[in-house]
Amino acid sequence: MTGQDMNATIRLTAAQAMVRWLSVQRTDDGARFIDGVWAIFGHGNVAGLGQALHGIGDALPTWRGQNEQTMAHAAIAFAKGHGRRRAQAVTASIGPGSTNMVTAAALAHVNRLPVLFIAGDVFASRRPDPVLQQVEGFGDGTVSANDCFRPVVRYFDRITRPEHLLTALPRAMRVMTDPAECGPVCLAFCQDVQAEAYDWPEAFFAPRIWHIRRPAPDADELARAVDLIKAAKAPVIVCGGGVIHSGAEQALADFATRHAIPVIETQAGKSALPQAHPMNFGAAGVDGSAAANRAAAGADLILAIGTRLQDFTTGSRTLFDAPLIGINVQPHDAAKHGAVTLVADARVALQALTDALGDLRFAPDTDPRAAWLAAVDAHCAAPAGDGLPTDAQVIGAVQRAAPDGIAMCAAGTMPGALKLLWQAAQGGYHMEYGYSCMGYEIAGAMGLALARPDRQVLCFVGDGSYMMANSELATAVMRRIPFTVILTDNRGYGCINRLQVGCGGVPFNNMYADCNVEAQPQIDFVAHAGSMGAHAVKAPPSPICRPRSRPPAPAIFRR
Amino acid sequence: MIVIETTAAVGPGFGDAGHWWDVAVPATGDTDALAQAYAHYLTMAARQSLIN
Ligand SMILES: Cc1ncc(C[n+]2csc(CCOP(=O)(O)OP(=O)(O)O)c2C)c(N)n1
Ligand SMILES: [Mg+2]
Repeated sequence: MTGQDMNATIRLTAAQAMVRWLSVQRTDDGARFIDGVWAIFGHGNVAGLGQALHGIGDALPTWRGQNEQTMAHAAIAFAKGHGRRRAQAVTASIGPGSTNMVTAAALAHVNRLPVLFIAGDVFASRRPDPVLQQVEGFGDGTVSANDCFRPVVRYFDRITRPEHLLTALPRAMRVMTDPAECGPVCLAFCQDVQAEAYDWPEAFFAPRIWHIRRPAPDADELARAVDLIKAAKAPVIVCGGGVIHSGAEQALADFATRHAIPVIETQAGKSALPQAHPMNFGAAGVDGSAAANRAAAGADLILAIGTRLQDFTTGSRTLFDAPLIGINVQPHDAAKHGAVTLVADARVALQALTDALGDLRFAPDTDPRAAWLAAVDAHCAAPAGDGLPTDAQVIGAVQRAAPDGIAMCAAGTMPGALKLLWQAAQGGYHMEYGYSCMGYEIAGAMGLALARPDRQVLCFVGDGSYMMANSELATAVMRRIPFTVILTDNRGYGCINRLQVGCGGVPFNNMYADCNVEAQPQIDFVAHAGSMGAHAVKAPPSPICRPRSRPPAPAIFRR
Repeated sequence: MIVIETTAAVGPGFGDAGHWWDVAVPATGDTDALAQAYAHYLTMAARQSLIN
């Protein structure tokens, strides 16, 4: 660029500048990092951002959903389905629209997933104060409802002058593409500032590629980890979501095979290896397989790769009786449980370890794995007698019908059941179990189907989760985004009821039968989904659980 | 969408699958079931590795 070009400017509103800039931020393979923007407008974003989004057109598409939280669930599932290599934005108006997104921000934060929240904010000028929906702090003039985002995003900024975007936008992208810090970003965008014009440097809008780095291990940390592994007799690998975020699935498969080390899975890490991989011993911990937990309890060294070590993985810290090596790109996670740290990208770390370990091979007992898989098949077999099927039998039926699909869910009985029993094909599992947020399922299935059009998305949802948030089903119908929903209706919050009784309580306020209601509900889920245009059927009590030769109807829409 | 009625009586676990989960049990209450659950809770909590 010549010196003169470097000084060239272009006059745009702040909102126009934001969307223009976002439209040219690229991934390594040339795709837009921010795929598009889910939007529900109100006075806080309709005039400024609304005009800008309309103007940019297909260069940064806009989609309308039904609820800000669930639009964000879709965006988050899209990012997870892409292994964090792409993301979407969500915009909402001041006040309720924006605070509706706070739960989703927390969900993305816990799961370390990127999403860009563009939250309409009060007037920077304060001229019309209090504007409709403004939260007024008596003792702090700088507070707005959007301050609720601060603890649940990795980067927060309030845009009170147009030129703030010159710093805020690159910071936002840096956080979303940083493997260690990755998470949600909130740009609270004052409504008057959105509409304000500014002379932007043209160079600001030059297309830019955001490479996701792969930090290599520190030499001393690597040497310590290698020594520990060489001294071990029975190491076990815990495979977390970081393995998938790093794209280290094949590296892990090769590493486990070459050194004969059993792999046990977290919710986020499940399906990095297919269940069929000979070293995949299945799920770890509270909802863990007999084979995995046995291997974990007997291990003399745990290699925790890309995992937060959530309580479900560790049996609330009672499962492992061995020292840990924490292999993680994020030092906070690497150091948990007093682990010996190996701070690095998972794929790079596995390669470095295997280079140092050479042909070292362990001799794990693989009989429990074979016995476990046989037991799962029997447990998930079609029911023989009458009576309502179990969740396990439903999983078995779906598994036999659609073995290559992606099973997805977030809350209720099914996350534990699927982690335990779903025999995933490679990449065939998507569980939001960091926040386990009821109401993620339907919208998440839509976002996942957008990210993975090559795979059948199997959305497992309980009656409770469906009732909490289902309206993006209508969006999926309108946008012709196909996925299959398996709704298990057990008339209430089954898993919490069992937990209540397991904790010595009495059944209370979970199943409808135990609630203060005047009449027991008869919710017609088929009619409900049908009213939104979905194709819905009720499975007769047992045939669903018999093996089927064809997958369940893949299209959700009525044509 | 396939709607299927299921039983809420049984969870997914079976055999040797699964492991303890720390959910705080009330230390005092009215029933034997609670007293037993609390005793079990104390036993398991004592096994937690709290090293960081
Ligand atoms: C937003 C939210 N609220 C509350 C909870 C606590 N919770 C977890 S599972 C569950 C009940 C789920 O019921 P349902 O979807 O019907 O599944 P079921 O266990 O009955 O199969 C509740 C209330 C949660 N995880 N998320
Ligand atoms: Mg239920």
